Amino acid sequence: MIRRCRPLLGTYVEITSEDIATIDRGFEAVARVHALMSAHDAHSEIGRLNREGHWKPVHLHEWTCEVLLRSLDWSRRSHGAFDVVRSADTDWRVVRIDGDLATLAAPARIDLGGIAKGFAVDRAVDAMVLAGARHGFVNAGGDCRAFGDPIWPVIVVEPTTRAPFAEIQLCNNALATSAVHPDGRTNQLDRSDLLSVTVRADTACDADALTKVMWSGTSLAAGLLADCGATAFAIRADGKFAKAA
Amino acid sequence: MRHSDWFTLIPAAIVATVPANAHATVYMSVQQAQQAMFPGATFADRSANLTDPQRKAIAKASGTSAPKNQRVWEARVNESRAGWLMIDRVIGKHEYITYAVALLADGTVASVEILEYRETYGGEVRNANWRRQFVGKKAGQDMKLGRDIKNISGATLSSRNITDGVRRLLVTYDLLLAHA
Repeated sequence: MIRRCRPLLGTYVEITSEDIATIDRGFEAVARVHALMSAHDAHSEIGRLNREGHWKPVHLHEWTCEVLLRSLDWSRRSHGAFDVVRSADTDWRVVRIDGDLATLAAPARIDLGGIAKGFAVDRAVDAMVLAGARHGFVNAGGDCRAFGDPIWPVIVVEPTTRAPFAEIQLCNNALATSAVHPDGRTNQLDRSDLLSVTVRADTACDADALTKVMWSGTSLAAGLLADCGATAFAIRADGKFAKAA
Repeated sequence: MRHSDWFTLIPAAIVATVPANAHATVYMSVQQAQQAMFPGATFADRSANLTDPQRKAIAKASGTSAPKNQRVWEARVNESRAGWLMIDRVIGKHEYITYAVALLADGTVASVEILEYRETYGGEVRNANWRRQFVGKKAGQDMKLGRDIKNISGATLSSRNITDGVRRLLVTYDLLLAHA
């Protein structure tokens, strides 16, 4: 097995497989997601959408469209608990997708940080399988997915001490964790009762989105986990294990 | 301790014996990085000590401090310059990361690869003795599944340090290499 690591998506992305050429294909897919969807890059498609979308339609790559459509679907099903729109006075309902064109019904700031990493991991896996890889593992800052026959052990660490907390055996499925930032910051609303939530699902994109759904504390979380055949657990603020939802 | 059928909690007693939550991964050696980032090239070592005025200028322009010695190789293919390979390190709060940046002949970034990643929560990351234990560690080319591989989820590390480091390397390139 060969393992490589590159800085992408604002974190460290590790790809493990047998063949360096297929690993390169995986990184290309991740780099493409990074270029299309980076929230901090004015030249990314999301950057352009945020800047121009409220006064003219913006043409988007099919991957960007797909992530936005999935995000809107998660918003619908979670009654807004999941939301990629970060503006104080608008929400996901201002985003309109029509084929490969997107508009914003009002000025808004979209941030795909809650779902793009998982999506990138899935696209990397697709690219590697297409290139002939029989098995491998992609880990983007803790959003990870295993494919092929082998079982890949993943250690979930406590986010403030990085002490090992639990071990999961992944096999053709994915894991994502949403945690408090070690310095106390989070991208979502603060949870004073939890340190992190970890979701296991079939795809990294679903696992990623579901961690945000769970983190929101919505009563719909258990049902949405079940709909995806996903499972989850959390680490409480006192460092103890807590059941999912 | 098993919990449901999909994960195992790691008992506190075992966690207590893990030395300072240290963790290190070697991805590539310098030679592997050279071959991966400039396939088929030959390399001339152009590593140089940076003078204090140079380090000051680099720090001022980039916002991060430069090492005393900059490791860099000129990559040559078919008698002409293909680009430069720069090796650098960033020290985070708990991480010590060595990485390589490949620049094309015109100074644009072609690729960035992490060579070695080391972390510790015992505070030793700035201790040279702690860093020395990783010297000579071989890249994990023959890793067996389940052994040596640590797949971690739980705290997303920001690669901001690398972004800042690459910016500093580009300033260093402008200063040292652009007119070489």
